[in-house]
Amino acid sequence: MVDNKVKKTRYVFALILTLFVFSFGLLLGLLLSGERTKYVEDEIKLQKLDFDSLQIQYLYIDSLLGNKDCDGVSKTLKENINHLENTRVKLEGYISSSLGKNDEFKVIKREYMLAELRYWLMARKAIDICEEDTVTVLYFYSGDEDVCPDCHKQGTILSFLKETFGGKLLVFSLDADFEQEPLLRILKQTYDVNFLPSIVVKDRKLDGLVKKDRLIDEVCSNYLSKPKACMQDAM
Amino acid sequence: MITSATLLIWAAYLISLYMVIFWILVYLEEGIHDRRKKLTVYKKVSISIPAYNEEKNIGETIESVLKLDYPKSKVEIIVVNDGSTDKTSEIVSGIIGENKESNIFLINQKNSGKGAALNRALHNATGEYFVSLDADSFVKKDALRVMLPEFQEENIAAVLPLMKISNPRTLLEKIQWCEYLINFFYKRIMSVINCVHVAPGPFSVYRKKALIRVGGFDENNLTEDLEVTLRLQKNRYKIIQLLNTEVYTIAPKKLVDFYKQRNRWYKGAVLNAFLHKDMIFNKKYGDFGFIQMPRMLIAGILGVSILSLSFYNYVFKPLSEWLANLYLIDFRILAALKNFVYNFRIIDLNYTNLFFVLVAFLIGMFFLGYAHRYTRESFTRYGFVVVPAYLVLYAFLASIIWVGVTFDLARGKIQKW
Repeated sequence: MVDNKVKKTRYVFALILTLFVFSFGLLLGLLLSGERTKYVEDEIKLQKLDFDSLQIQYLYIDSLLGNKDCDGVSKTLKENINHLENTRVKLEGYISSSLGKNDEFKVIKREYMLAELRYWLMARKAIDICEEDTVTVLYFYSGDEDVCPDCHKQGTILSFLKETFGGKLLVFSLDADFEQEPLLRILKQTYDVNFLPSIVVKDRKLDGLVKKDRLIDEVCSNYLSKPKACMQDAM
Repeated sequence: MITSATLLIWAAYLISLYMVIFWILVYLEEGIHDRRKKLTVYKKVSISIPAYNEEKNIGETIESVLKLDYPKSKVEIIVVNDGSTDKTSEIVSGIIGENKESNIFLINQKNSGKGAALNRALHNATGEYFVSLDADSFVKKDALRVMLPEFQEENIAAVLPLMKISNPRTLLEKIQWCEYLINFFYKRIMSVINCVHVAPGPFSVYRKKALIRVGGFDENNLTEDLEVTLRLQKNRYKIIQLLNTEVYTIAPKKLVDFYKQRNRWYKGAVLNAFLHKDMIFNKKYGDFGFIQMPRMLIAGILGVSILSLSFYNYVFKPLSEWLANLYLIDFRILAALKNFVYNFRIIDLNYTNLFFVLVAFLIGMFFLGYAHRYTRESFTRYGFVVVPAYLVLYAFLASIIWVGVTFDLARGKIQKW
């Protein structure tokens, strides 16, 4: 009859190879996680520098009398805000698909949120100094799907509006999970934010998920001269 | 976050990867040993052809047997007409009349199933070797010359040829053409450590003594060819799969027939694995019990779960979310796409999953390449579309059939052949 000796070494070697391949895949994932962390950290460092640069420019413009030449600096401000927001969205994406190590990301998230607040304050001042017809929007959200299931949808609508209104609409996303940040707590109190998502358009709060059309109406009502995006009927 | 879906996919992937790596190791260690042995002694061979309504092909099948390069006095052909309602019986009688110098016998019986037909032939066979041949298969003339010398040891119970699809025309046939090449290459590797789990209908050559000793074919089985192989393995016989001689068979052309055939095959494999479940992981039955029996049981589940879970997790869910979001912005796709393209970075990709897909792809290429090489076929024999179509569609087709099989088994629906 057949020699039924099971060649154990082959089974073990196959197992070792399989585990090796699998571990290599996981390792690549970890490496990737490190790369992503580095990327968002580098970005926020650059943002700080850009912010300082803008701050100096606005201080100078403010000190001038007569007509203020805001075009260049205003454009840079809006580009920076856009870039910050894009990187923040990426960060949220990395956090949701990461395989662990969320603490490191949490620290970085806090830096991004502070950057958003900084830019919001600067934008308000800039609009004042330069007499711009721009609307600012505060967006309170949470990246946790269990805490705020509608936030993903709200984010999509806001992105669309930013695309439509271009530089005339500035959106600042604040992660409402950071309870311990004093300014955030103050803002939530001031605007009476209890529910997520919440949107504050210029100084008016909207609770819950705000659909596209309603949001456009709300935004448009704040302009002195209505931009093209507000004129169209079926937007 | 690692969701439960991700963990399941990884677990299934890990098990599948292990099995494939195991067989690649066997190939690398043992090789294929494709050299032909010389036929020195001519023993009598009984070739049985069970037939049920095979008027279209039986003529050609018998012709191919008559053309075998083997002394006619040592060949007897036993056609068992399993209660055909068409002209099968007349055609065979006609052929017998035209070939009086060959030993062709026709047995007519009431419709009792393929297993019973084979047993009837086995009972009446006078050869030392017994061959089962499906009525829609055509054998190459050197088959017996190449296969018989392989019976070198007493414990070799069966020798099997390479099966190829005859004249594939439709895309479905061409996909099966490619599939058979890969499957039989795989089987050849398995044969090296005696892990062959099925001796298919078309031209499996058995040592008659061995067949009778294990009790012949199971007459109430969905896949009697698989079941008898399991019994032979259980009795510690050796089964050899060859690649150096061929038999051509007809494959289902329409999806419905394809589904029915594969449903029977997969269901038969699972049911027979349960029937002989004492062999699973049992070292007494060598590598066959240890790796092949479990594989028979779970291969289907693994394949389906990886594919369906991956599809759900990585295609369906994100796609439906994306569509739901698009609805909120009145389907202004351009705006969304512009944003995505502008913001895309290479580190956004999921490297782990990409790596796993790459590994699977490379392994697939390995098998595809070597299968074609050892079966002496070129990739483009039937057109450039064959290999891509196989890669893309086969897994999908197989998954659907396995889902069907699972439902049938859950409902207790087990049909007869």
